[in-house]
Amino acid sequence: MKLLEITDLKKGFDSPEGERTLVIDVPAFSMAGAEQAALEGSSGSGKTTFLNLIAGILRPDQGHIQIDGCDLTALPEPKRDEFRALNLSYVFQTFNLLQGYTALENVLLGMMFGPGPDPAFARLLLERVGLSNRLSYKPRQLSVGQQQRVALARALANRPKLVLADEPTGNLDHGRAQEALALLREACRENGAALLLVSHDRGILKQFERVEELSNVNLAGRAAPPEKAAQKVIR
Amino acid sequence: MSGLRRLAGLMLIVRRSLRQHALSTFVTLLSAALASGLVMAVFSVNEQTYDAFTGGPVGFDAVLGARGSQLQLVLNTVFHLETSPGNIPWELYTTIQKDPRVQLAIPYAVGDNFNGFRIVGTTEEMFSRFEYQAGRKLVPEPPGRTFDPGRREAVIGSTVAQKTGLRVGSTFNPYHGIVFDPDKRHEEEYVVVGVTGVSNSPSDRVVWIPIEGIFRMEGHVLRGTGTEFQAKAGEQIDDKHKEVSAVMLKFKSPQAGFLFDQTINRQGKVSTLAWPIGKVMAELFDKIGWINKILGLVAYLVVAVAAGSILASIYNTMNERRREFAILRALGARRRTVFSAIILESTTIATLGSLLGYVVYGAIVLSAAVIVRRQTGVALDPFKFNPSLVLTLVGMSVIGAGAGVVPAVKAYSTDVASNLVAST
Repeated sequence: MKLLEITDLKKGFDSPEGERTLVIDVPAFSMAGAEQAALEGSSGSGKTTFLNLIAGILRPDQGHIQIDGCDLTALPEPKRDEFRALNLSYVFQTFNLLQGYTALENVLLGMMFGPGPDPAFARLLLERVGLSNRLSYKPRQLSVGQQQRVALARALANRPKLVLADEPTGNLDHGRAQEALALLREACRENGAALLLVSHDRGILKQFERVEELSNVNLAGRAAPPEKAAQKVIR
Repeated sequence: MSGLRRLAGLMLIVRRSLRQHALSTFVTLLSAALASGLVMAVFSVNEQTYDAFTGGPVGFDAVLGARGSQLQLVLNTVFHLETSPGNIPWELYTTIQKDPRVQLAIPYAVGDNFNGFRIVGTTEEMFSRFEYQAGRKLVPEPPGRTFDPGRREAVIGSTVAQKTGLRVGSTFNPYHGIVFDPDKRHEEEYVVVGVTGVSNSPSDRVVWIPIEGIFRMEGHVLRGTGTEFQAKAGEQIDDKHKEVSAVMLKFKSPQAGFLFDQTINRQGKVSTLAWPIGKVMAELFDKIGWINKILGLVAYLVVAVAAGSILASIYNTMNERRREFAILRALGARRRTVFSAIILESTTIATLGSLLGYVVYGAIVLSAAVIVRRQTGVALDPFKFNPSLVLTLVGMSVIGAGAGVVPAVKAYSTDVASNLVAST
């Protein structure tokens, strides 16, 4: 059964000139439950917008995103927020940890808007990523690698069905990147979560069985060179 | 998500934000504390002074004095403030004393002081019959006693003893006038024979001497007959020469006060009856009510400034917190959650500030109580409940919530995608 099913997805933005610029045009894309897939996309290919659409952070201009049988595009924003909190999680290149909060609180905060805080599970997750002795450390007191591991723990805090990872190792050196990726994939497997990762790092991409060129998925970027990936559409 | 869990989550966000912006939080808390403390103090001190001056332990129903202002009469004789409006003949005292409707009539003769404390010439009844509160008399504490009407003896109030150092057995010389002037020293020497206990009334600030002492004080002139008369040592003073500043009255019934008011104030031309004393003072407060209105306005202005500072302190953090809100939204927080977090934050600052305001309130009210007691002898009750003590806390919290609306709207409208990472 498909966990994620995208059909005829389109998203554009208004340019300063008043034109609608199409950045996402995905006729079809799908993932099975617990599947791990990677999208290869260069800068400007619309990969973050694509993930934001799947996460329900952005609303598409048209098309459908079905996750676990629920049409995300039909939900009003508060319901999308709730759905995201309960079913999805996001791992960012810049980690996006909250600076004023400890490692444990960052994970707990990830639970706060979903099923609710579970301190024991939060500790377990941080222990799983090797930070059991850093629970009360704030992000600035942690190394870059440790911060990424807190972000991984937070991403798994609500036992999501789908983890979206946007260049999750982009800020790490090669060694730490491999370590973090292995941890992310393993943790997703352990928790039965599907993983959709976007990256332009070939070293990362080659570890996935399913790797797709974003330009093959997102037709909006096909006709133009990468730096001008957006296809202009006159309103 | 249950309400309780949601609140716990919001409180965590609020706590962290307050800690992260500790300095601005502290300054804003202080301004909220000052505002709520001022508001509470203005209302509370106003009510307490009103109660103390209009219904305090006066012990008399009315004051009979020279024709003129009832308020001046009351201030001069009851609170020992202001100057005397003049004297009335001794005969008025003896007449009203004998009236069957009068329970107690005590003459006062004023015009001298000791180190600024008023000297009041009176009779021994002041200690034996007068009750400043039901069942409470001005009794000299052991080993003291009341004065002998025929001797130069004095009974002093507790505040006088405390401030001047006079004790039983101490001697002093009165000074002419109600304001202390070292050049106006009377030669007569008085000996303190008693110190009254604390009554928390203006009597604590009085030096009581026999009324005969005032009559016979060097330089004092009696005009009871219309012509000047100076008492001579060893010679009795005829009643016709005697004058008193006022007669303090206690009636057997309230109707008596009404009848005396008709007779003395409406039909008579010789004297004035200040009755009832509480009403006379209430009229004073009505006249100076505008002062309280101004103080209230100032306090409200400080509240407005505090609300503004809450708004500004949170609003100024909005730019740096956009990413935080975007992260929270990405984690599944709804728009209304971040909106509520900001409202809760501003409400928390206002509420904590208001709680801190009780310290400011306590400091202001205690200071006011000390000043009022020092100036008038009237005791305020700083711990007396006033509705403003609760309403201000509630009001400040509501104002705090209101002050958070503008930054909350900004947080509400934070664009998630653009504030998480640069969109590609």
